Amino acid sequence: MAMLEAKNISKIYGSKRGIEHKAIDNISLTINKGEFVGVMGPSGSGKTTLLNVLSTIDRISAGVIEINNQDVTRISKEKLAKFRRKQIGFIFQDFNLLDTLTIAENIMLPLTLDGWKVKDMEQRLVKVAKQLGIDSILRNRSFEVSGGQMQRAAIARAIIHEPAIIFADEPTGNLDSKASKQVMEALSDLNRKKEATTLMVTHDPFAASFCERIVFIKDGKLFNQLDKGDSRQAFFQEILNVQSMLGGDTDDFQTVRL
Amino acid sequence: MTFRQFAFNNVKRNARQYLSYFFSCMFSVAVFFIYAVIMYHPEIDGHDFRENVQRGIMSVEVIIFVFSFLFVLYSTGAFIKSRKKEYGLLMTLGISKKQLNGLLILENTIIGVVSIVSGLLVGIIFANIFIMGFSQILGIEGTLGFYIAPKAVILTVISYFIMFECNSIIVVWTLRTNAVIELFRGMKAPKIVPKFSWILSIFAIALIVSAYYLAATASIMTIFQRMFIILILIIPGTYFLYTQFSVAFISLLKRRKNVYYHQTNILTISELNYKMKDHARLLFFVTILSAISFTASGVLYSAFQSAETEAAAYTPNDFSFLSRGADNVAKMDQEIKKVIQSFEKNQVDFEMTVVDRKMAQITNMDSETWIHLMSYSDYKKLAELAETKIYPLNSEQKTLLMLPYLMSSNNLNIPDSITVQSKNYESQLETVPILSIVNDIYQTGYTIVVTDSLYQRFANVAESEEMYRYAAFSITNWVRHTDIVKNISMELNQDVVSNIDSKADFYNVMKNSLSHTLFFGLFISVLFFLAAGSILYFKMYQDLDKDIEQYKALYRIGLTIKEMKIIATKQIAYLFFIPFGLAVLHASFAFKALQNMLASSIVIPSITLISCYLLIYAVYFFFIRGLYIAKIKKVM
Ligand SMILES: Nc1ncnc2c1ncn2[C@@H]1O[C@H](COP(=O)(O)OP(=O)(O)OP(=O)(O)O)[C@@H](O)[C@H]1O
Ligand SMILES: [Mg+2]
Repeated sequence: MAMLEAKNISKIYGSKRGIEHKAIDNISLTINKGEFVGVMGPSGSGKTTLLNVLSTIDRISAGVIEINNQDVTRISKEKLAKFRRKQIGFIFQDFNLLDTLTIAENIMLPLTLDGWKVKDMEQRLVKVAKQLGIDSILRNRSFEVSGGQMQRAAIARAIIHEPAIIFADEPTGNLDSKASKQVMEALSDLNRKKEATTLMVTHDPFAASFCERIVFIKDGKLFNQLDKGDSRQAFFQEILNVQSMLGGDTDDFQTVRL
Repeated sequence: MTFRQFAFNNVKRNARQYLSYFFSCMFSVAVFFIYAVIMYHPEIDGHDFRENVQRGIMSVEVIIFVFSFLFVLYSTGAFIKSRKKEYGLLMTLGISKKQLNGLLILENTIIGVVSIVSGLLVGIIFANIFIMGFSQILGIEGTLGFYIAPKAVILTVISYFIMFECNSIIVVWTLRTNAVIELFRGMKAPKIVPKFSWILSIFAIALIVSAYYLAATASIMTIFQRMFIILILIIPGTYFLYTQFSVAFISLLKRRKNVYYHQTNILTISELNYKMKDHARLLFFVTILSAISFTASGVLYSAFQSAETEAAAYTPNDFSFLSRGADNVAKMDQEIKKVIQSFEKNQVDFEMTVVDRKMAQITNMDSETWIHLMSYSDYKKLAELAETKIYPLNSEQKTLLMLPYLMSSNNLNIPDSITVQSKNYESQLETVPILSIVNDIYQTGYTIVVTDSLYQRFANVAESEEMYRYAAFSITNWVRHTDIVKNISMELNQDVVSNIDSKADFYNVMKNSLSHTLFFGLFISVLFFLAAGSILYFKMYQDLDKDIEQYKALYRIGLTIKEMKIIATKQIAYLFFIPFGLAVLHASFAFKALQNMLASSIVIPSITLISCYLLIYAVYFFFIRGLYIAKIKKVM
């Protein structure tokens, strides 16, 4: 069953001087329920743009996007925000936790906004915190915990309302290798155990190797797709190969950390 | 790009942040300048008859200047703090400490020069209106010509230029943090959980309540001592209310999970928790400024409005005069005729009563004082004239002791009985205090009413110079005839009659002295009020960039724009209306104290005035909220 379906979408950025830039050029993409999909590509290829339009933060110029069988290209901004609140979970590169709130309050925020009862919220909180191994830091404030813990708290916030799909933009971008590994394990765990549908944009081949499928884009167009075989090691190698084929990013420091 | 260009571009690009600060500077320059124009206006400068007016303008000028200084100092400091990170970056790029200081001073000089020039331009535009208004208020014949003295321009330019330079040097001096890292942290430093003390919170409430109690129970006798005590209580009380009590209150609110975890409350309350503490000193400042401004203008405006009632309370007879000694009494009829003729000529509707009074001595607690005696039938005539209640007097052993209005409101120790003596006659009388119905002559003491027979006995033994005659007039609609009364008062022969007193006189004196004070007072009040507003505006803008980052993140996880508007409106409203409300509360207790001293009700004038302020404030609030929300919408 398709959880997200994008048909022939394009995104054109218009500049003030009338020069138009096609950041996404006629891409079609389907993500099935329970899939863990990665998006990769050189800098400026349109990854963030793709994620933004798929996650309804930005409007597309042409095409149709359906999430959980609902056409999201034709509803108002106000309704979209409410839609995101219920159906979409977000994970950002810079965590985006509010520093005026405790970790627990940050995690419960989507439920609070949706008007849940305090008791129900707390039940959910305990469950997700345990799942992500952050139950010991719930009372701390966001700047009192490590980057990896912050990102896991952000993941907890993204899944607490059991969204239809989770979007992650470079979730390991600000983390060291150890914290990256923890975060990616947490995400892939969620995917396997809870069948959480996830779309992740990343630069990092190591993080990408946790996905089941990688979509490569270049200049706003689909370039290639890779499916994970039996071994993550082999998958990782294949990712590196495609990356070098794409060019641009090959001078990245791609230390093997398996 | 030269260094100067860099500084210039910095101001240009930070225009938005500088704008509120710039407007406030411009405003105070313009005000100062307008006053200088009036001060150096040849027709005012040359006048010698209005020395107190000139002193008034002078002190207003000084107050405006001192105030601008503090205000600009505060704004510059806050502005520079908000840009600490930028300075940190410049320092890592290799700008030297000296260059950075130079940059800051140059930037401030640019702002200063621009506000001086635009302030002068705005001032020139409005000066004419002010000159016209001013001559109207001071009752100068004709209006003053439009003339801008070069001295006024020079004074404004020089004093403000020096002020801006001093300000930037002070700010640069306070910013002498050497560590780049410290600058870098600047705003980004993690916020510490606001702390508070229960004891201080309760202390704050106690201070304020006791100040309110003192104000509410003050009387004209006690207010002058109490005023100082009230200030000593209310200022730290307000301070701790913001720094301690507000934080305590919010932390209580946070414990109520059903409230705290209710939709957007969690964002509003947690944010407010920090903002309150961050803004405590600012809110304190704004509250005190507004409270001063409300109280000052309220007291002045109310007093101005109540001049008529006060005149009536202090001067029971609309117009009166007195003749002392038998010789003068004999010539008095001629003077009375003059008055009647003048009133008839001017078609003034009036009634008149002439009564006799006699001086006598009383002994009260071993001290002797002079008083006036009046017969009960004369008292009745006067009471009818003044249309007041007539108190009974049915015993020779009793006397009605007429207390002037000022005394009656206080519980003085009025002796139960007094001994009245005149030459060779003496009588012990039981006193019944009543409100005076004659225009009192403070130099000679009280008037007492005795029975006709007793009065006659005293009159029979009186010496010639102990005999007084008192003429009292009741004038229909006296407020309309103040000029006629004033003129006839001057025509009376001062050798024959004395103690010429009238409501009109009291009313004119009060109105005149108050109108100047009112003008200056309202002006400074409005200035304080606007300053309070612009401080808030400035703070809002400073926080805006940081807030927007947060809203962006929240927008992604599904906060609707409508909800953002609600949160933003609530937060701005708290910042605006909490100090406003508290200032109104402070001011209303000051009004209560004033009310204890006045005969007329000041409820209407004080409500009118506060409503005006509220209206300005509300317009201002919606304006800022509009700007803020437009900015949020634009980036979403
Ligand atoms: N708001 C915008 N207005 C105009 N052009 C934009 C805008 N945002 C992105 N672009 C352009 O669209 C293209 C794709 O940008 P995008 O941010 O999606 O790249 P990316 O793949 O995420 O790159 P990176 O890996 O560096 O993050 C780029 O050429 C960029 O210049
Ligand atoms: Mg990107």
